[in-house]
Amino acid sequence: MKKTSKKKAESLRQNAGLRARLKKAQKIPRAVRTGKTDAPVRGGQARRAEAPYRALIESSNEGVGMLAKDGTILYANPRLAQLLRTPLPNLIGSQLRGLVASACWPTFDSLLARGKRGPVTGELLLQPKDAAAVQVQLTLSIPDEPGAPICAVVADLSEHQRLQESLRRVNRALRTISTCNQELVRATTETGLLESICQTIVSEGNYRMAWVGYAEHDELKSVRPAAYAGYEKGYLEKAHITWADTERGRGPTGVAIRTGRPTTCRNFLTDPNFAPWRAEAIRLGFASSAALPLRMNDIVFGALTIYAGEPGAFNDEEVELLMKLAVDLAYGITALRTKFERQQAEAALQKASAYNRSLIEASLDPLVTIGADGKITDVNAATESVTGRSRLQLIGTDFCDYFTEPEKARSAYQQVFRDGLLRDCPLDLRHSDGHVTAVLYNASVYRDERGDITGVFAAARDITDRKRAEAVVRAERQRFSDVLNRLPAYLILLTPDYHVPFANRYFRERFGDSCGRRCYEYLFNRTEPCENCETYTVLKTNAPHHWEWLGPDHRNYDIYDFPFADTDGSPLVMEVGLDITERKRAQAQIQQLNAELEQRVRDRTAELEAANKELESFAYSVSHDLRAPLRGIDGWSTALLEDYREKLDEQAREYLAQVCAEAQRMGQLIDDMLELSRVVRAELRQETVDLTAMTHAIVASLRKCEPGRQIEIIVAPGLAGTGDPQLIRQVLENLLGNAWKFTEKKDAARIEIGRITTPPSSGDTPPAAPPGIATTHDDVFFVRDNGAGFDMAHASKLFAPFQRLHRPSEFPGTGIGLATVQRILHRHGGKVWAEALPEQGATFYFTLPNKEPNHD
Amino acid sequence: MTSRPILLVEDNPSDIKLTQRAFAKSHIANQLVVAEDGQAALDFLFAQKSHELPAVVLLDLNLPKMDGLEVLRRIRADQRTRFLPVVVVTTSKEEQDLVDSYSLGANSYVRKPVSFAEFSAAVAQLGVYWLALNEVPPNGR
Repeated sequence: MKKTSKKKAESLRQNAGLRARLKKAQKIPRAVRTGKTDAPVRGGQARRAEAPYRALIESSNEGVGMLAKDGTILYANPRLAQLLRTPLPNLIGSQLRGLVASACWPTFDSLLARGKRGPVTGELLLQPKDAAAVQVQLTLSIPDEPGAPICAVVADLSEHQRLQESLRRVNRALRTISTCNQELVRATTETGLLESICQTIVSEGNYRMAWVGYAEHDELKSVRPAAYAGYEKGYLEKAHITWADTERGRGPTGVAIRTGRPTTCRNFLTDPNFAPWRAEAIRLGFASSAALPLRMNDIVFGALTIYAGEPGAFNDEEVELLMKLAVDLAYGITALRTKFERQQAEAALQKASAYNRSLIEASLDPLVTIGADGKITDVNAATESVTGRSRLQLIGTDFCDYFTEPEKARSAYQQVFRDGLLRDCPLDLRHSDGHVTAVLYNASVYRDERGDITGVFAAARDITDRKRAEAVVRAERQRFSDVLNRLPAYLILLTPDYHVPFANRYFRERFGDSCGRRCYEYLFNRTEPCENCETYTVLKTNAPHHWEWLGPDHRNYDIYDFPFADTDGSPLVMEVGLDITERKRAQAQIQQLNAELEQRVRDRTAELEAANKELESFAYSVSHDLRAPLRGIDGWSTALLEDYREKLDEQAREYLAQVCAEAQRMGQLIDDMLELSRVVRAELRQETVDLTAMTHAIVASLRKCEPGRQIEIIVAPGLAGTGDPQLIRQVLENLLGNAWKFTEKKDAARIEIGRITTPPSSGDTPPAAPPGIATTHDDVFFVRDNGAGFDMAHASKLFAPFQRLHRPSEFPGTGIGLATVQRILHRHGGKVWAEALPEQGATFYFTLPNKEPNHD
Repeated sequence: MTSRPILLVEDNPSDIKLTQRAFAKSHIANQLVVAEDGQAALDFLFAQKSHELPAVVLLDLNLPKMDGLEVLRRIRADQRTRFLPVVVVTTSKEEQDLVDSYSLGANSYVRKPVSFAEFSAAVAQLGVYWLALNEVPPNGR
């Protein structure tokens, strides 16, 4: 320690001496200026010349020191002290080797060893206490002269490198700007520009990442990334950068936007403002950044932020250059936006112009513009089609030439020039093929920017269709009017205030013209409306009303009133009146005739009733009064026979017996006649009658009366009809009785009762209904026997009363039975007819209407 | 066999005689009282004491003045004669006469046949039935 401090003290002393000499030397700066400084340094002896060198060394930008043989620092200029981060007094007397990084000691030692053969140079790392290592170039020069100090020159290599790096950075910034400027020129879209600029910054400038953020004017004042390039990896999304004066707005980007000044963060590790993004930035290898505001019209609208991988990047010079880039970029964006807006406006204008033109072309109306000289300047397609000439043919020709009356057309457009306007001027346009189109012209003048009239804009409306439609309407109206006027009825319209706006000819002819008078005035000569006017009830009820009216012409009218609306919607009454005078007269006549007829019917009915009564009493008398004498004849004849038997001979007794027989026969005749009349008078019941059962019952009673007869009787099952059971029974009794009677002489007598359900075709069982007898719907029943039959020549007499086809001696009978059968069936609406052959049998057919049993 | 008389209400003299003859031939000895019209019949009936009422009335319908149905109605309307046997004997075969007769309370309805032999047989049967077999409530009740 003592030795060291002694040496140190000595070195200090020498240094002070050197300084003192340097002071002296400063007095003669001329030496430096003349450059005659080499000789004294080389010689080492020229004391007088030392002072200028001394000054040179003191102010040198490189560290210069004098070392003892053992490396002790004897002298150091301020620069060396600065390089070694050690105060000058501390430095003098210290070992230089002690300030060299231990790793570089071999280099240092080697330099020291080699320095005897001339100046040697090597690079090594100085490691001052409590300071960063400094890369230096050490040059040692060891004089041969014993005791002469070793000369050491220390050049700060880090500073050198830094300058070189700075230069390189400036170069890359310049290169970046240059490339970016090309991009600026090339760019057509804003997004494309932003992306290519970011890309260029990263690729040309070797920056780790670059992005452009736009300041949003939202609640958070967020910065929206618009483009980026480089090593981003989702950094921007997580960054949530704002330009508000908040934690996340105090990073370089936020500050740059907020302040409008370029802002850097040169070391993410140490800058407290960068805390929110630090971890993520480190992860992505970002160490420093520069945010450059983007301005448009003095308003900061965003920032270009660039990240470098090393700390300490973005010195002032680089930032200044990058700021130029940012300005250029902002200009580029502005230019693009302006260009875009202009293009948009131009496109809109073009579109609008095309739209207007297409509107004009789409117009069905012929449109034409005419110059002051009357020459056509433009037309639309409709004009081409109405004239039959193309646009090119039309333009430049005289407007008036295309009308049937050119002079009229000329005066029309002259009027437009004079008055500025023309409305609905009727003209006829002539097509090249000669046909004419009726049009209405509307025209107005148009002016240029100065307000001078430059032409006429004329629009024609083709009114051919309208004229046709008008003609149709006129015809329709005429037809309608004809219909109304030829109507064989009156038709009028009435207003609520009793005026008659319309009356057809029929009405006018009968009641005259209203001539503006109210209905009650001119029809009835009244001064106020009729009380309880029927016509106007429809206005109250809004429903049609039908009534009869005796007009002032003393004729009857059937009136129909309807609520009606005028074309403007105002209420009207439509009244139609039909003259029903004749009808009423006829009706009255009919009524009278009817009344007379009814009276006549009543009279006749009474007569008939009286006749019926008479008939009934006659029948009654017949039954009573005619039978009584018969009883007497029979009774007294019998008394004669009984009381005077002995006095009478055989012949007399026979005669008396004949008298009794005839009386009884007369009684039978009377009974049958009464039966017949009863058939007509009796009330008819309608029931379903079981003909099969009825036939069985009748046959049974016939067998009982004549048990000896051998007759085969076949009854079809299920025969049924509708009618009065008692009368139907009489029918069957008569028919079966006849069959029974007329088969009595047959050995193998046979009676068959049945029904034909289907209309007969031909063959051996024809019902052979007489013409006009319908048998299609009703069942046809038959009673057939193989008895005496009859000659069909007499068939017409068959059903007449008292007509017999057989002698009484052959077959007894009164001839009333079949007449009764026919009457009964006729009363039922049925028919009866017969077929027969003499000695071969007879078939009687009959029908009963097939109706439901009900009250007749 | 009752000995009460039989009332014949009949206007035809021939019929009266034939009826009398038929009764005689049938050996019916009861007195046959003849009323030749309705009123006479009623006069006779209502003049009798109850125990003297006829055993049966043979009533024709077609009578002068008051017809048979009216006679029947009055007989039935009177307390004394309401159960008196009345047989309608008539020429009529009219359904209406039958219905009316039974409705008014006729005990029987016989149609006079043309043949006297049949008539005799009928009268005989009537006599047997109404005089021998038929019973009536005592005192006409």
